[in-house]
Amino acid sequence: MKESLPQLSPGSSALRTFLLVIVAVVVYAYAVDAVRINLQTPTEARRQAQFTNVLRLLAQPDLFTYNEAGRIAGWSDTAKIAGERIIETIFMALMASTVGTALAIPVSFIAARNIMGQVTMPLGAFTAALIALPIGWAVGSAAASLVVGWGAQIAALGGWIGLGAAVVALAAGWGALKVGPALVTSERPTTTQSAISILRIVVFTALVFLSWAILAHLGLTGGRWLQQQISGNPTPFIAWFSFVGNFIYVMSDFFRVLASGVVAFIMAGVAVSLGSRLGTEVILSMSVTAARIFTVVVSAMGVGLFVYGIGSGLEWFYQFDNPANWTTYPGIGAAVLGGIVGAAIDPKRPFAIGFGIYLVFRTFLNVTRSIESLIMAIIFVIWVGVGPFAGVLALSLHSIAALGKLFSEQVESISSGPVEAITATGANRLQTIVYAVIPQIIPPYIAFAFYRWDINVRMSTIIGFVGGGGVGFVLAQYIGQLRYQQASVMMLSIALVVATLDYMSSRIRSQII
Amino acid sequence: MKGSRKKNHPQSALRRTLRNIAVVVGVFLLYAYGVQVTNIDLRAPLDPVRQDTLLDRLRRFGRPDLLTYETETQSLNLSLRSPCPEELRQGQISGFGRSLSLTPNCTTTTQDMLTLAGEGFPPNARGIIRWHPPGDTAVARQVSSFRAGSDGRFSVNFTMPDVRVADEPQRIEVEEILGQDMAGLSNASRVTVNRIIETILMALMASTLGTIIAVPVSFIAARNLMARSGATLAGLMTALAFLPIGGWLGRQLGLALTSGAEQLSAQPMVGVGGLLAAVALFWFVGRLYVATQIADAASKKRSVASIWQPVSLAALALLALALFGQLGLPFGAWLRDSLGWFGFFGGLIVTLADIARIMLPGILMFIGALIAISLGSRYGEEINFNVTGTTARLITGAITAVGVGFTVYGFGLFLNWLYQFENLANWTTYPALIIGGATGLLATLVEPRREMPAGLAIYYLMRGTLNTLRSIEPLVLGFVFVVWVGIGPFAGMLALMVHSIADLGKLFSEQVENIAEGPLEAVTATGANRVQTIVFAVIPQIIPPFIAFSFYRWDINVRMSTLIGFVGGGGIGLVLQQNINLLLYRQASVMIIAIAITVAILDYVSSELRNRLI
Repeated sequence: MKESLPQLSPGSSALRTFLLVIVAVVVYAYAVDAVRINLQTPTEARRQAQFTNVLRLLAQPDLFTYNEAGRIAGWSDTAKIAGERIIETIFMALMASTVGTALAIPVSFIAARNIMGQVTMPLGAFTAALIALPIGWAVGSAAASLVVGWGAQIAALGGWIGLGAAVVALAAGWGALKVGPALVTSERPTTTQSAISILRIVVFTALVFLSWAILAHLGLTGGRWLQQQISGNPTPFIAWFSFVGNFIYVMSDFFRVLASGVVAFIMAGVAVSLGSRLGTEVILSMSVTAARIFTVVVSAMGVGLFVYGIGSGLEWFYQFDNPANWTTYPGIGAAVLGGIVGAAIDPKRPFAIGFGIYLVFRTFLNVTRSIESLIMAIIFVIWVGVGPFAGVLALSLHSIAALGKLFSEQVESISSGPVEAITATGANRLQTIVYAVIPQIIPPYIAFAFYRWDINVRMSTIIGFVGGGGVGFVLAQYIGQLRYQQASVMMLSIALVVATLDYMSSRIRSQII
Repeated sequence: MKGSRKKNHPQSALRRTLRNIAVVVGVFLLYAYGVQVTNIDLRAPLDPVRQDTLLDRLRRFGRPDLLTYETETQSLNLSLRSPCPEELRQGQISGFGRSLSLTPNCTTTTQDMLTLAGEGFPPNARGIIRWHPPGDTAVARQVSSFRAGSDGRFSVNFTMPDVRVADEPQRIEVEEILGQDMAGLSNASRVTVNRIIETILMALMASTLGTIIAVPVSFIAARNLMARSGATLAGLMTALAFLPIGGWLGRQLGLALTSGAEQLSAQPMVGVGGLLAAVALFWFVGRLYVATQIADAASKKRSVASIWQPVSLAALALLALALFGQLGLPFGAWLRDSLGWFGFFGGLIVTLADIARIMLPGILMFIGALIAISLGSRYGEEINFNVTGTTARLITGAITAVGVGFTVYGFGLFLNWLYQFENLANWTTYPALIIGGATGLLATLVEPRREMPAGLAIYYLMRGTLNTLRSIEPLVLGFVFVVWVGIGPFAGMLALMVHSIADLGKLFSEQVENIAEGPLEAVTATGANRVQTIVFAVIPQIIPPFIAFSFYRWDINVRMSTLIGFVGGGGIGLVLQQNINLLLYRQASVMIIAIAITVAILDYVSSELRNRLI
């Protein structure tokens, strides 16, 4: 853009400068007006007295209690609260950063242009994957609910029986994997051998999942029991460790609640992968006419189902006056359109489907990133109530979006040599990522994760202003009650923590990169 | 750290295993404790009541109140009795092909559940149920809403928000919405647009002022520039002793100028005349000054004119500034009233005049202090030029005692202003005498001609201040400024500005530290002084990164300015929080969308601009 500008004559260049100056003056004049900069208020005697008063109170933080002789007797209650809240704040940031980093890593691969740009397939294969998606989801969800139900039943029989059953299930799963011929051989397996291998893997997965389900149900009661046992211990130091029981309880609860969703998600992914691969193989092995017919049918079904699904989601959320206008009719329209497109194009031509997915993910990340975590916290407070949990959720979500973008940019800027070398050995996509991409991105990922922790600590100190817990919550309360000496302690502790973590994070980052 | 790790002997397998176990247990305990402290518990999010609330509010967020509609409605009225008679009855009415029934048609307490059933409505028809309390002046209150099913029927349970006992029947109005026509932007949208502009301009002002102030600060906080400056102890201490005197003189001059200008402009014509005369004289002397400079450079000598001319130039500029401060107020106010939409120009002049008027003594105090430091260090160095040995040591000791004494006394005064001690002398006179005397004695031990790393000390002081300020979040600063200047965008701007100065000061000074040494040495080798080195060797190297960082800061400031309203700092955050507190989620949704769009656009623009600049 800069280069393409034609050479300006001195006259027009002067005119341009003049116009720029005029625009700048107008913008700033308007800004001064809009920001209502007004020196009358701060120089008002009453305000200055009030401000001085507040400054004096802030300069005397309520840090210590004093005994009768006026000597320091110990920390004040405010200082103790500040200590507790600061720990809460740091852990909020730590949990959010950990969850955010863990979830941002898979997201970053999908949002990386160089990885997703290579994913191409015929239209028919893509739409077949669209059909397979809800099926995979339903199967995964049902299977997981079933296994989790068994786990609950077995765990209900009693602690020791449950534990034994979990061990037996694990051992049986291990046996299914190890007994018999090796799963990976250098020879090309026959269809029967492949089927048996897949069956063994499925059995193994199901059994391991069952043992987890049993343990999770045991953990629900066991965690609470452990918590009570430890906190009942007369030694305060041991009683302090009761959080271990709570951790087991919470993790078990997470498994119980999220297991079917996670399995459904994974199964949906497997189904999409299978659908696209089978679709590609079928289309490539057929004649052009047959492939065209297949593409028309599958495209009509896939696109129609997809649009119907999105319409149903919208209808559930918005409760439209006339649901059919949002689900059935657009679904039919999309099916017709999908059929026409499927008939019009060359059925064997590969499409850059991956690039489309990349665009969708990137847009999603950018939109999420531009909603500040403080605003997300407002919504999470409605859901999970006032407290640090809402803050953790808000910070986690924002971290996923921000780290997802930063990470994917790192993936995009890796050197292509190792990737080409690994691809040349005939490695598949997963192997390429594991052996060529991951070794290159680990240092920047760690550095960015620390950077994010730093940002999260800053944010978690103020997320309490909207009810997100941590030290900000108490600070806002104290300021609301005009207790400036107490507020001052909180401000000091925030500054201390932010400065320390700023320093630590920059040290760690400079050591890693 | 890296070095020590390398020195370690190769560990035995057992020790390594033990270490790994300890790390795993440590991480487990860390996260277990984290889960406990952050109250992570799935019972709250899975609670059906909470989920319903969330869904209800998300649905409202999902329908942002962007546009206003003109609604076409028709109403049917039922009667309601309060309190209930002995025998409960059902109220019924039909009209427009619809029929409604209210069971019971009376209420005694606010707990009494009423059921309104309707049929014959068009499928999925919506509407509002209102209660008209008795009395002509009472305002109708919405008690519930309904939505018919696909068969045109509905049934709604509700309770009355209030019970008014009256003899005559009260009216329950069932208003069905027949159709809606768009009628323009909603009120919430208009407020949002105004506030978003306010927010962006708040960030713009904070970034601009922050950048302007951060540039000189960054030079003082740059190690490579400051490490070069040193002075003898005598020079340093004379500067310290002169500092308050210079500041005081500057302030007196400023006050005198302000009151003089006030008297002059009591007669507006005289004031305007004075302002014009000052500007004209300034221009005239300025021409003379440039001519003298060229002539001096040619003849390689300094004339008397080269001293009085800059002094009179500065005096004229100050006089003009003082007069502008007095005259600008009425002139700006007049412009503001007569320019219509462009009245903000008048506002700008009022503000600038106000700043000139109020800040003049402060600015002069600052300049006076700087001149005093510069003069003090020069004369202080010269004191010891002609003397050596014990005399020099004694002189240095005496000056140090005075300089440190002054500084300690001043610091004590500040502490006293803040803490209001019971016994002033304990904090000012005595410490000044004791510490001043002690350091004076110690100073006699120092070699008098030794250069002290004064620059480095200032560097550390500046960096320390910047790091401390930077770790106070703008939202926390916002609290303090709201107390001072009141709720509104001005407080937000000040908070963002202070944080920008600290943050940019650090980033800028790191850039200054990273500059290439070559040009610096080349310019220094020509005999350039410090200011000339900075102008010709440092500034050309740092302009691109400085501009890039300023845009980056604007981006951050826009993000922060959308939030700073939460603590009363103005902008869109203030309205957003009000709407959320009033449970007006559809209005809040408009604001959240506006924030997201603004942040996304500025994020993109700022990264594009930065890519082009660096």
